[in-house]
Amino acid sequence: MKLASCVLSLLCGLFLIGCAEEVSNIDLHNDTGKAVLGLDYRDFDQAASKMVQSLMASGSLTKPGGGRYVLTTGKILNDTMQRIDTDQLMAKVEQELMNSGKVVMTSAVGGKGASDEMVYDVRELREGEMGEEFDQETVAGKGQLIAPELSISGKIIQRNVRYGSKQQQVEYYFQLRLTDLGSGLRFWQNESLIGKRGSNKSVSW
Amino acid sequence: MNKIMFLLFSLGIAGFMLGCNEQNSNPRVNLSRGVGSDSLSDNIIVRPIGDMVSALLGEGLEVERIKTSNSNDGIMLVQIGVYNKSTKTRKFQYKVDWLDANGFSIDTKTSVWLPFSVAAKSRANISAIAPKADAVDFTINTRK
Repeated sequence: MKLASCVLSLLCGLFLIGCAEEVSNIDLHNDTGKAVLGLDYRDFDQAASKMVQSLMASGSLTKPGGGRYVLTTGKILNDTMQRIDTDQLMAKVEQELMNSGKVVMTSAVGGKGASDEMVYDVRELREGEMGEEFDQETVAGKGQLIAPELSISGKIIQRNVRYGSKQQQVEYYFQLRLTDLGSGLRFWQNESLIGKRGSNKSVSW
Repeated sequence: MNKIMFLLFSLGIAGFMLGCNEQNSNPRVNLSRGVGSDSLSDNIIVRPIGDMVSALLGEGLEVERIKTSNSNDGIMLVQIGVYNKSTKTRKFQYKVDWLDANGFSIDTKTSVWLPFSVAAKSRANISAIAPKADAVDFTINTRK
């Protein structure tokens, strides 16, 4: 009797293990997976690609007289129902703009504060007890930081629309704008729309 | 009955063939089905036959022209003019890869699969801009 119970438990265990979904890596170069109602990496890739191409085509990043602009990322608002880290979009945009050789990003100021707080942390080594431990000639001096000339800011907006009795339409608007910080003039702006339709039962957050 | 069917089919084929040579008065303006007037090659009688023949021939996109130029700061611009020969809208994705002067692929976040579609019997332009001035050539892949 005990043997039968043991064998049954073993079989049940094996059956439950067998029910587990197989995990597979996403083929990022040729992902043919189904679209989802929320925003996934393909949507951010697509939006970033369109934004960068539009910005490059506009010629707004060509500095008169040559050289590179100093650029910072201002506030990017997430006005969607999803928890999105807007860096998912901006990291790609920043990377491409830097690779283009037309801009250099500053980590000293930005919409979320300094993107690298170490810029300020090392300056605290000038004075105080810790300062005595450092060769002051190697510590960043005053008046060394370069202020940004241009800023990119924007918004990601979500709009849900009823589409028939069983379907919903979800619209995502990616908006970016480039501002000259000296004059306050806007040099470029673009909106990229990604629209999806799916069952009302699916949730987009 | 069979004779009538045969006659209609022959008429359809003839109309379809004629339609292949039909010249629009202004090639810059494309009036799609249901917008412009019906013609000998596209009307309520021959339309189903035309659709069937198009499907049988497996008609799809045709690249009509490829234009490249460089912006003032040396960034390569590409525009590919395509024509959808099919009687159905063609939806697909494309990805542009950029190559430098040595033929090496340039690693860029802008090389991603992008959706595109061309309406039946219509022209469209696929445009792309290089990520940096190093790009001197390109390749384009498509997928359904």
